[in-house]
Amino acid sequence: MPEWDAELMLRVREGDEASFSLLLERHRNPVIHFLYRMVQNQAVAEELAQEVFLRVYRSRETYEPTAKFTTWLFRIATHLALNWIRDHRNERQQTSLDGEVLEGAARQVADRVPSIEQRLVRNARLAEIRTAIETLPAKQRAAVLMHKYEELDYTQIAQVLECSESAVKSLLFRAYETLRLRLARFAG
Amino acid sequence: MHIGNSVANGLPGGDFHKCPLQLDGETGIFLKWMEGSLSPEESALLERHAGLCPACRSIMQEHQAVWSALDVWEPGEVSPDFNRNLYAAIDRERRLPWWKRALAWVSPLPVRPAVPLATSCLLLLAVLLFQSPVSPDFKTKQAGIYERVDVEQVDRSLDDLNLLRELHEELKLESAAAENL
Repeated sequence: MPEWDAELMLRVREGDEASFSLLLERHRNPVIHFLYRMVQNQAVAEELAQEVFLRVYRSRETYEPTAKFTTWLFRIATHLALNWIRDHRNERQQTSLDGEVLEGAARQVADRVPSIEQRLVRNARLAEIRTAIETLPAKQRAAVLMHKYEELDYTQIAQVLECSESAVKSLLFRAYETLRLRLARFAG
Repeated sequence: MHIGNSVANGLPGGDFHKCPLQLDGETGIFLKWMEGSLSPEESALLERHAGLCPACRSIMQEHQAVWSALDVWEPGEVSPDFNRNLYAAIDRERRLPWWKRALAWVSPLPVRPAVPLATSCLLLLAVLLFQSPVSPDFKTKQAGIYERVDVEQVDRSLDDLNLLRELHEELKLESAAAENL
């Protein structure tokens, strides 16, 4: 309900704090999840998400519903994530994934109680997926994550990344081709 | 639609290098198929083609495997303190004086380490340019003075030379007289 989001934001502009709470509840998880997959660190993702919503709150007085609220929100989030990745590029290269082993996988695994072997295979696969995503160029990564998990359409992704729709298609095509080549053995 | 044309043009299948989907650079179709944005007819056509073309079948299987693999990656739980921390940050910001709130708009901008250095260099250059005695006005004035002085200076130099020559002659005469004595 994009119009509803814009309506809520206009109410926030009028000083209605409850509308801000509603917006936060609706968009908090998608934003944090997107940021988590971008930076692959839960604490950093939450820190960046705090900044995203703080910026939304700061912008309430000047907000104009010129684009979809979600697009605007993800533009802020992507901007912050890309800056963070740029500033921490060297640190990330030195950090291994071992430190924060597959938080999400552990949660899923607990539901179905798989064997140790299944769990190991699953964790190994997940580590490969995370690495494959992490090694994509930052813009391709953002495009894939918005396309796959947030279900943003090409127009929205183009507005978030401030490029043309054809550029988005090209980014996605290259990214999925890279992922296909890296993760091809999963098809076996 | 590309897929319609490609498939209608005949897809013998079997040879990767002869598959029209590969040759025409239409592999973007696989992305559309994967995300489910092809019409049911187009999807059926592509899947029928994949039944005949091992290369396309293999690509489609790999894309599907990647798509499903990505589904496995669930993010972690959001911290229960998230909202509380956010509202605390908003509250802190509300209590700030207006000028600090204005600064908060500026401070999150990406300030790279080179920027302060470059700014300092520019400032230094500006100060040197404005305070230097060799300002353009000064240069013009100096040029005017030199032009005016030029002729007088040559005259004076010639006079000085004459004086020196006369002095030299006098010294010669004096030394000759001294020798004679």
